[in-house]
Amino acid sequence: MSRRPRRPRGARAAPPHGSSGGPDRRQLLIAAAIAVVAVAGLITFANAQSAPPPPPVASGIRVAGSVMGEPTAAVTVDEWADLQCPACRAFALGTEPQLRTAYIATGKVRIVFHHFAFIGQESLWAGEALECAGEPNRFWDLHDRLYAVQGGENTGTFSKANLEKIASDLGLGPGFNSCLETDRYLQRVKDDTNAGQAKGVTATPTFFVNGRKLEGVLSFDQLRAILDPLVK
Amino acid sequence: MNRRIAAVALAAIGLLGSAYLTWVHYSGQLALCLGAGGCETVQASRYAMVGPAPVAVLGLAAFVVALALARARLRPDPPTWLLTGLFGVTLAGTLFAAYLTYLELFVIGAVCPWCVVVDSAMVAVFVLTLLELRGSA
Repeated sequence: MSRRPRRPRGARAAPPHGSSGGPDRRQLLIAAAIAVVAVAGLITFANAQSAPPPPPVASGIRVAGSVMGEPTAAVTVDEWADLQCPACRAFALGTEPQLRTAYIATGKVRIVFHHFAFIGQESLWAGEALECAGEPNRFWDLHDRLYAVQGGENTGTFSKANLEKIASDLGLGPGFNSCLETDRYLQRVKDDTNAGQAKGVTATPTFFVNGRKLEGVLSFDQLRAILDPLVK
Repeated sequence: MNRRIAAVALAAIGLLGSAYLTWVHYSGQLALCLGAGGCETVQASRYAMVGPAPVAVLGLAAFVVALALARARLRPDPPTWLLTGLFGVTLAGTLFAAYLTYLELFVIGAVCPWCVVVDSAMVAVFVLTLLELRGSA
């Protein structure tokens, strides 16, 4: 009687071609360990990099309402922005602090903020709030604060009640609240937005550097390449 | 074999999604704060960069490697290191996707639909890789 060869107990038949001899447990453990260490390193590195640097308006920089910098500066950067726009936030928190230190504080450049409040109702309220903060010349302090706390679009972050709370943290009091509640600067914000549209602004942020139009989040290097020939 | 083809297709989807997000990052489309999605919020957040590298580029790199490995495994009798490599890359991708999803939900407060597509593709390729490993054990 012929007998078919029997597999040793516990062994498996060789699978069809292609999957024969899968990786052994040791190889997989090494691959998993490398993957876990790589991701942990990446996350640690990302967190170390992303500590939010608050961009305070450096003392000694001249601010007057929505204008920051010396009136005699050789270059004027006009910025059209919406306080709810994440790209504007990226510029305000990423590039602008360096712009302030290197060009505005040294008197070479001044920046003028213009409202382009197109994302929704809370864009208008936030814009109004900046103008109200401008009355005691705290425009830029609130500007920085609002970008720092920016949340989802029209989700209550820049409701009037919340704006008053944020402003109160900056020491802005009842004068600010009544200014905001009575929409004292609503028309100003709308006028700015209309003026931007008339100048061809279609996205935010849009910059005019001595009249030259630039769209999008400018890195500091990009901005430096544009500014240096103008400030010399 | 069907799993391997599915892995290639899913890695290709992830690659296309990451390529789109990379293009958005570098093209300045970020400036256009239009549309209802949270992509702009997520991409403009400070978590969109790891050092000098946009997260989208890290995703693109991971999918390029995953697609190359998955594609190479379509050949008959692929060497085992391809499956080990695919396991390592997709495990790393899945862990990082989980971290990014946590950030979107609990830190940034906005979910980017394109990121969800890309993250899901990575998780799906990882699951297929696990199934392959089970089949070859």
